[in-house]
This record gives sequence, C-alpha cells and structure tokens, in this order.
Amino acid sequence: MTAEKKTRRWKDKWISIIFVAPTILLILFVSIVPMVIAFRTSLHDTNYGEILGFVGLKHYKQILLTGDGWNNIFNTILYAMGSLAVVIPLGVMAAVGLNNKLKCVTLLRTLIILPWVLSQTVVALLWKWLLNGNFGPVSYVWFALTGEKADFFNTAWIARITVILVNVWFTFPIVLILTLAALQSIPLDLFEAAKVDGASRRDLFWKITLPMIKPTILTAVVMQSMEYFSMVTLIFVMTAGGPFDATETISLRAFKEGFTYWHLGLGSAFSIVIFVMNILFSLIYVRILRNKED
Amino acid sequence: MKKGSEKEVTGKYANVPAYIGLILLACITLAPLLWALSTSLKIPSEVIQFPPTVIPSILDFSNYYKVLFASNFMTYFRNSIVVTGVSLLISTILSMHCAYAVARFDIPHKNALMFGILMTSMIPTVALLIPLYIMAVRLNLYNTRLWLILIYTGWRTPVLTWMMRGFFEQIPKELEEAAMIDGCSKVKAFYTVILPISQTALASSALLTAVYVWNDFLVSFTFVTDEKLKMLSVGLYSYVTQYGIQWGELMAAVCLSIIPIIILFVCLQKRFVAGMAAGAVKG
Amino acid sequence: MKKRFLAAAGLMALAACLSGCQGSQGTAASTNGGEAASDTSAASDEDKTLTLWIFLNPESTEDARSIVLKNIVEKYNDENENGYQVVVESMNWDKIETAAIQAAAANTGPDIINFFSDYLQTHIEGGTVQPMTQYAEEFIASMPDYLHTADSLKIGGEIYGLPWETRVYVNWYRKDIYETLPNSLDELVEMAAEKTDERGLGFALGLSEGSSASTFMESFIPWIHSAGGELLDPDGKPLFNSDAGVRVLNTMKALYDSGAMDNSVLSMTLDDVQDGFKAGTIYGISVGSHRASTLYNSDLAENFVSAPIPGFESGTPAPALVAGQTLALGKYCKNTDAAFDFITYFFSEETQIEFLKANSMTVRSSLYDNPDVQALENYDDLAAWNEYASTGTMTVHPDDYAELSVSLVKAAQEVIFNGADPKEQLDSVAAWYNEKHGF
Repeated sequence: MTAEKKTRRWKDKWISIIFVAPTILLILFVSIVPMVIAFRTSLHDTNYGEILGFVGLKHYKQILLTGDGWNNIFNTILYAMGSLAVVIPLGVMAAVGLNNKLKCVTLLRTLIILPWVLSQTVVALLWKWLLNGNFGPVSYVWFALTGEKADFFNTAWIARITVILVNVWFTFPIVLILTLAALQSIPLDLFEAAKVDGASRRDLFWKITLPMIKPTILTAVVMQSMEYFSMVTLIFVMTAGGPFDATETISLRAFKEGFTYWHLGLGSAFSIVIFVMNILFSLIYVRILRNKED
Repeated sequence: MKKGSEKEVTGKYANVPAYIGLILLACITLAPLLWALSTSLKIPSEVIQFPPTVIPSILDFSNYYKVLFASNFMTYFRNSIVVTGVSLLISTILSMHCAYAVARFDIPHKNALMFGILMTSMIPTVALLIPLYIMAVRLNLYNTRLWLILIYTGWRTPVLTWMMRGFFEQIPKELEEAAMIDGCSKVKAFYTVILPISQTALASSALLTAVYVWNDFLVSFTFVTDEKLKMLSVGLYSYVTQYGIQWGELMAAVCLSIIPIIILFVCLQKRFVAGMAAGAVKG
Repeated sequence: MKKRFLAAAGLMALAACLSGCQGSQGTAASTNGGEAASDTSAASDEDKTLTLWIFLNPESTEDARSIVLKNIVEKYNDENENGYQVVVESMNWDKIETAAIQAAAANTGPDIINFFSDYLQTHIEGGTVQPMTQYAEEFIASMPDYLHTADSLKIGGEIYGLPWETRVYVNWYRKDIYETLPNSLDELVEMAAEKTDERGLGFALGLSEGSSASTFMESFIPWIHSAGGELLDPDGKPLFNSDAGVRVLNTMKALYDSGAMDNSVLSMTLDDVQDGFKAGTIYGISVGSHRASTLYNSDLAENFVSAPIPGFESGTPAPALVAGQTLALGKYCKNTDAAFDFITYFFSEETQIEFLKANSMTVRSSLYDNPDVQALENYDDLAAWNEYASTGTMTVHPDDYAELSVSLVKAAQEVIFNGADPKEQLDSVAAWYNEKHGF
C-alpha cells in the first residue's frame, strides 16, 4: 500500500514536471530573458541600438521626477480605469442578456462581438476618419443636428473621453466572451433550486450569477487592465498623444522614446514602469475582490 | 415539462429589455463596420466626398479586385492562417497541461509559480522587441515562421494558463476521482474526463490566441521582412501608403481579412452554447 | 476520440514547425549573409543575393512606381555579369528607419536601402548605411544633368545616399474659390479668412504631432527661410528662435485668429489635410508635389491648382523645400560593387522617364526637354514644380529631426491655440535642444 502510494507520488511528480516544464521553458526564453535584457538597457545610456555606459537610475529619475513623466502616468491610469469602468459593466450586462434564450441569439452575439476581431490600427484609422471634424460622417450628422462643428480630438478632456470610448467599442466584446463562457458553465440546477425557493430574477443575478462569475470578472479586469496599460497603436494612430499631451500614456511614450526617437534606455525604463504598474494594480484588484468576498 | 412552459411565459415579457438593449448594442458595434463595407464598395472620388453618401452611388468591386489580385494578399493570407493556426494549437495545448498540473497536482510554491507566469505577460511588448531581435539573429531564426510562433505562443500562454487554471479548479474533483476508481490513471482521467467537458475554456483560449495573432502587427513586422513569409496585418498596413491612405482598398482588405476570424468564431461559439460543463456536472 | 484529436493536433503542429523551418532555409541565405558581411570576399563567393529594403512592393501592381521597380530589378538580375540577384523586401515607408536601426543593433541589415532624404542623418547615426563616396563621385560626374552635385550631398566629407526622385512642397488652392492666388503670406492670411464659410476652411495647416509633425515642418521651414531665418546653423545649433521664427509663428497664429482655420487643425496630419481638401471642406493647403495624383482623385479635381508657397515679401515665393527618395548602401552590404551597380539602374534616362510617368519628379533636369516627357499630360505641372524647386536645395536634417519637429509643433500649438508668447516658446525649445547636444 505505502509502496504503491510512493510510486504514485513519484509518478505524479514526473507527470507534473512534464506538464509544466514546456510552458516554463518557453516563457523563460521569449519573455524573461529579453525582459532582463530590457531592464539592463534601462540602466544604461544608449545610442540607437548600441548600449553605452552604466547610468544607474538616471532614466527612472527622468520619469518620476518630472511633470512630463507624471502626466504620462496620470493619463495611463485615467485611460485604463476609465475604460474598465465602462467595459466591465457593459460586457457583463451584454453577456447576461445574450445568455437568455432569445431568438436570433447567435446572430446578435456574432454582430456584437465583431469589433473585437479588428486590429488596433484599423480601429484607430476607422474612428479617426468617422470623427474627423471636417469631413467625417459623424461630424456631418452632428453638424446637421446641432449646427455646430463637432470637436472630438482638439480639447484635452473631450479627446481623452473619445479615445476611451473608442477603446471601449473595440475591447468590451472580449469581456463579453469571457463572461459568457463563465455564465454557461454555471450548473443550471443552482438556478432551478433557487427558483423553487422563490427567488426573483434580480436575486438570481446578485446571489448566484455574480458570485459564480466573479473569478472570471477578476480575470477580465486583470487582463484588460494589462492590455490598456500597454496599449500603443490605438492611441498613437488616433491622436499621437495630443492635444497638448492629454492622451500621451506611458506605453505611448515608451514607444515614441524607443522607436521614434531611439532613446532605448529611457524607453526601456518607461516599459519597466508599466511593468511595475501592472503588478501593483493586479495586486490591488485581487485584494479588493477578495475582501469583498469575505 | 411544466417548468419549461412556465419559463416561456415569464420569459416573453422579461426578455423585452434584453432585446432592446442587445439590438441597440449591435447597432453601435455595426455602424462603423457597415461604413467600412460601404467605403470599400465606393469609387475613389466618392470615398472622400462631402457630404458623405451612405450607400455607394455606383457599386464598385475594383477595390476588392485590387486587394485580391494586384497584391500579394493570398500569400499573406496563407501565412497568417498557418501562423495563427499553429500558435493557437500549441498555446492551447501547453497552457491546458500546465494549468491542469497546477490545479490538480501537488506542486511546491504553486501560487508563486503562477504569479511568476502571469507577471511575464505584464511586461509591455515594446520593451522585448529589440532583445528578441538580437536573439533571433544570433539563433538564425530571423525571417522564420518558427520564431513568430514561439513568440506568440510564449506571450499568450501565461494568460491562457491563468484562465484555464481557474476553470479546472471549478470542476469538482469527484469527476476524476470517479474515473480513477474505474481504473483510470490521473493522466488518462485528464484526457478522457476533464478535456471533453472543458470545451468552453478551450474554445475561449483558442479564440483569444487567434485574434491576438491574427491582428498583431509589431511582432510580425519586426521579425519577418521576407515577402514570402509576411503576414496579413503587415500586408494590410501597406495600404496606408506613401501618398495618403487608400481608404477604399484599406477597407476592402479589412473586410476580407476579418472573414476567417468570423468563421472561426461561428464554429467555436457552438461550444459556448452547448454548455458542456454544466451538463456534465448535472449528469 | 480525444486521443485521436490530440494526436492529429500534435502532428499538425509538427508539420507546421517543419514548414516554418523550411521557410527559414529558403531565406537563411539573406540572414547568413548579413552576419558574414564582415569578411566580404568570403561571403560573395557563395551568396549572390542582394536584399533591397524599399517602401515600394514589386509584387503589388497598383502603384505605377512599383511596376517600374519590378522592371529595374528584373533587368538588373538578367543583365549583371556576376549573376547577382536582387531580392526586394518591401516595408511601409514610415517603418524603414525602425527596421533598419533594429537590424543594425544586431549587426545585420539589407545590402541596399531606400529611405526618405529627411532621414539621411538618422541612418548615418543609426549605423545602417556606409559611405559610397568613391562610387558616387564617379557616377555623378557621368551624369551632368543630375540635380545634386557631389559636394552638396557630402556629409562630413562622405556621400551616403543618392536621391533618385525629387519633390517640392507647394500650396494648393481651389481656383473656384480663390479668384486670384495670394502673393504673400500676409495676403494668404487675409484672403483665406475671407474665403472661410460654414462649409469649409479658407486655408489649413496640419498641426498634429502625428507622423513626427512632418506636415507642420513642411510649412515652417520654407516660411522661416522666407523671413530670412534658418532652422539650424551649419553646426546644428538652433537658429529658429530668431525674429524670423517668431514672425512665422505669429503668421500661423494670424491664420487661426482671423478664422482662416479653426482648432480642428490641431489634430490634423498630412492625410487629414489632404482628405479635407479632396472632400471640399478645406480650400487651401500645403502639400508636396508627389501627392498630386492622389489629390486629383477627387470630384473637385478640376478646380485644384498648385502654386509656389508665398513668402513674406509680395511677389517673391518662399525658397523651395526640396526632398526625395534616396538609395544607399547598407552597412552590412555583402558586395558594394554589385550593390552600387544596381543603384545606378535607377538613374538611367529610360527609368527616370518611367518614374516621371508614375508622377515621381525626375532628378535629371535634361529630361524636361525630352519629347516623350513633354507629351505627358501633367507636363505643365511638372515643369512648374521643377522651376520652383530650383529656388531651394535639399536640406540635410539632424538625426533627431523627428524629435525636434515634435517639440517645435508643440511650441506652435501653445502659441496658436493657447496664446503663449512665441519668443518664449521657441527659446525654451532651443534651450532644450542646446542642452541635449551640449552646445
């Protein structure tokens, strides 16, 4: 009996290693090694692709001790939180709606999810054109209705909100998909039992549905927040950070510093700041959602 | 039977707001896409016309013709299919094994390991490109599909592993234990009992990877310059040309390029609808 | 069932990996070549491919210039005696710098590279190109009607690139709206303000920092030249914070204050300005001659007319801003003889005429006397642009030109839309630039 247990444990150990090792090795190879190199770069001066002398925390000081750097951080947080605040409720509500037994539900679901399959470049170009103040169709309708010229990209706060809304349009379907998958794996007998107890539809949602999909929502929040923190192309093509740097997020700045101005050291430092923010915020989300549970 | 009919009666009224909400949402998501479709069917001078026309005055398919036959679209398309297909297979296979091991086996420092894995997906891609470029050249993997697949797989696996682990942990352990009493090994129980009821998770993971890889620009642009190996996103971007954006052709290319993802989505969404997990627990 | 599925999946993955590797073998030649470039002679024995990085794609037949390129490549591949084969790797025009500098960081890169003349210094500093002085001097001497001289192309005593195409920045107007064209910038402000109505803007400058603020610079530089100023001195020190610079910003601000343009121009890039003009919501813009054929693709095309950019002095246009697509030898070029030989194919009369037909202005001035060229439909435009182009020269910008442009456009935005003091703004950009370079 004990011998059998031992071989079994030994076998389990090897199986778990075989299951886990390829993933770990691959991640080590394409993420961790280059990440270490990037961190090293952030501590050095650079000239184009060339890494020069060690400068310590110079680049980090440049980010954290200047108004520019904090403006970028503020814009990033605003962009990510603003987007999450709309994307999560919208995605969950739409998923709950689509989880009903409706006619044409497949068609509706497909249509609603469509924006997600576009690339950031295409979304940005498309919306930039739709919203163009001088010849865009949306602006035309706006002008016909209000008699005033539409202005989506030329005032700091309006531009920020516009960028967030376009991001919402483009990314809420992913939250919807995740939530829908979670909703459909909730055992139906839970609902049936609750219904027998006389629970209303609203009760069902708050007492059963929401707690059951909470892990998925957490996953969605973490995933989306990471994506929003790191997003470049969408904003770059739409506003290039303007007007007056109102939409310049850290990731956009990292991209510009790295690949337009070729300050690789500073660009890498910005990337590391994003990395740290990602970790911090993920920890905060987990903490908040766990506390609520208790 | 009685229960079912009751549901229908209450459902009829209760679903009205859902319908309204969803149809409204569909309109918002669709309008820009319909605009893109309409643009792709316009002649160039009508594309930039003010006030704009909603329906093209002349239906013109020359944009589609140009995209399909006057460029390397089909080569790009094939490359995208191959790279996306292989990446989604490998990343799904890797992450489902890893996630299952973490969820069900005794692994020391499991949570630290998982957090470590997740952390790697938190580093923004722009920081990794140059180190990876230098590695690619040293390893002689520059200009290969293999390198693209390795990167996509390595970058997508952490999030997928994390998702699937949550999924596997929700599955009652009793399911495998029952199978193991019947003489299955743990591994066999995973393949024969757990995977068949994990189709929702696998489908989500496949879709997530597919869309990511299909739309990625930075990686495929950075590591492949060979015309024969280029992917669609890079080819598509070239419609934003030197002389200003060729809106008609760009939109035609976009409309064509989203077809495979829509097909994949329509195929996989049956898995969602089937609600296999729920069914299995019930039975 | 499941096992079979998994086995099939595994096989597919394996097969795809193998095909991936095959792909790599097919192209390994070019990568190997790049790495082995240090010992040129050894590599050239085995590897006869030359890679060319360029924004044109010979696989695409849409752009007439791509077809010309395809012909050049085919002709060279057939004709050259040593059996070299040029392989084109095309990439989007605004990505070539990124791709080349990245490659240089890994000690590799194309044999021949094409880029826009504004970025010449960036390529030199980024280590993506090598001098071609000897080849170029000899070749230019054999081409007396070439627009540039060997001396004018030299940077630090060396020639790094040969422009094979030229363009000049001009103003475009709607002639149904402007009965007469403005003769000076002040007149432009006045007339443009008059022409603005509820349908459109009288004149618009794209003031977005997108696309590295290139469209703003395309006006700023000719204007500052016209005001007697300079962007930088020959050593690269800032001169734009002069009275001339202030005058330029004040004139731009006057365009806004007088209502000739509104704040929508704040987010406009070149493409937006151009599309607005084509849509008829902007009546006057400043766009390079190379965009003519795109502009003419509009229902309003018959009303479009181009003219030199007016200057501050009435009747004297601003000195022309000239630029062009440029070919250079890659830093890790395997065989510079063969590569330069290929470059010369771009300059033959025959090829240049083909490019002219495809709306690229030639760099060989004698071709304007060629009967084939004179028979071209757009000959009058071409000749006028060529004449205007002779009032200016191609400027060599510093390697951080993109960064400087963005800083300048931000200063201009502050002045035009937020009423900041132009002198102070330009001074602060100059101070930043001085500090950056340790002047």
